[in-house]
Amino acid sequence: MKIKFLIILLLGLFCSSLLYSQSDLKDTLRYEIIYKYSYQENDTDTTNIKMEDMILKISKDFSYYISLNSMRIREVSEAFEKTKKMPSNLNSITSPKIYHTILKNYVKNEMTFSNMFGMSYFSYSKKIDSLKWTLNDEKKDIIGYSCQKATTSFAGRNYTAWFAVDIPISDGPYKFNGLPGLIFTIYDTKKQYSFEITSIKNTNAFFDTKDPIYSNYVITYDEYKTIENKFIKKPSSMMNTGGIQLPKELLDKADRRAKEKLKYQNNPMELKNDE
Amino acid sequence: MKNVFFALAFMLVGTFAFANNSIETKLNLEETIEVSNNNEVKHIDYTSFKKMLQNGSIEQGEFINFFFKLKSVDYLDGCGNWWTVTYDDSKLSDFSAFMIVGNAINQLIGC
Repeated sequence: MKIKFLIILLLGLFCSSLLYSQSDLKDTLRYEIIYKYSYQENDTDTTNIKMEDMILKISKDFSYYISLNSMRIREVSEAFEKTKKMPSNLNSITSPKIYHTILKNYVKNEMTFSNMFGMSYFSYSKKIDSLKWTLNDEKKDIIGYSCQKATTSFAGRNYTAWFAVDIPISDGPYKFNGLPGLIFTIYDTKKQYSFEITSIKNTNAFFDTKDPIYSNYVITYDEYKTIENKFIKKPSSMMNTGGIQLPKELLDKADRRAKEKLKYQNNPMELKNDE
Repeated sequence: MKNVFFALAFMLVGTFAFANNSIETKLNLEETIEVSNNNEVKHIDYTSFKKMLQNGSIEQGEFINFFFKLKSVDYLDGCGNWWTVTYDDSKLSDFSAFMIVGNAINQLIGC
């Protein structure tokens, strides 16, 4: 009986590690950049602009992009798992509005996009987007760095970017990449979506991309889109998994809210599908 | 062969709460496993049970009657609603559970 129990336990641990192993990277960082992300969910309602601070962590071989509020929740959770003591700074944490994360693996030229639907993360991987940039001679200073102008189009929108000439890192916020310097600012020509750098710092902190509390299900892009559509239309159909059971009244309320959001949120950042 | 069996005793051994902006959480802890054999009855927690498995205190051939238990989290969201959420603590730590629940409630109903 004991042997059977331990075998089941070991098999469980092995399977759960497989959930993470495909996209987990860890290394010493080089830079941490914070961007102010502004977005307009409704095409005509220009009075409702939402904002979230996002952080881009850059190491030699990969970068990781995540909401700063999500990052703080991760840090608190990691600290708790190590010390088993209730963190004293819980009051300073704000719930995130943006749940997706983007891992760019420079070595494999692969991007892993993850998003939280309810109580788990779902992620898919693909080649890093190859954007066609047009460089412009125009330059300006942004937070003390000389930046050059460039333009591109991505997923149905035209964008203007400013990249730092002296930071030769071909990366930026969200899926943007491919310029000869780090993107400091990028916005679409309708000014409905924008990322503005607010700080950049050198760091040698160690970072592990694996989330300390959430399960991550690695799926294909098509499976991801199916799950996303299902969650947007009827979130209750994706809940009560992973050992957590939410009350029916809460789920009914979530479904009603989802219907209202579907009507209002008619202006996604990506107007065309990713693939 | 020792005649050992385990039964769960559902006991409320403590609660704690913290404020996360306007969200308050109370975690109800039910964490006692009753262990008995022919000679004695004692109470251990789940961590001790796992240690017994690892260090060989439970020998091959022993009969184990084990039931996983559920815990519950009472959540006061930012809109003033109380939600009671249950979770399986064999899959999640207490802290992970209420962080996940807090995020889920925020994502689902915006509170």
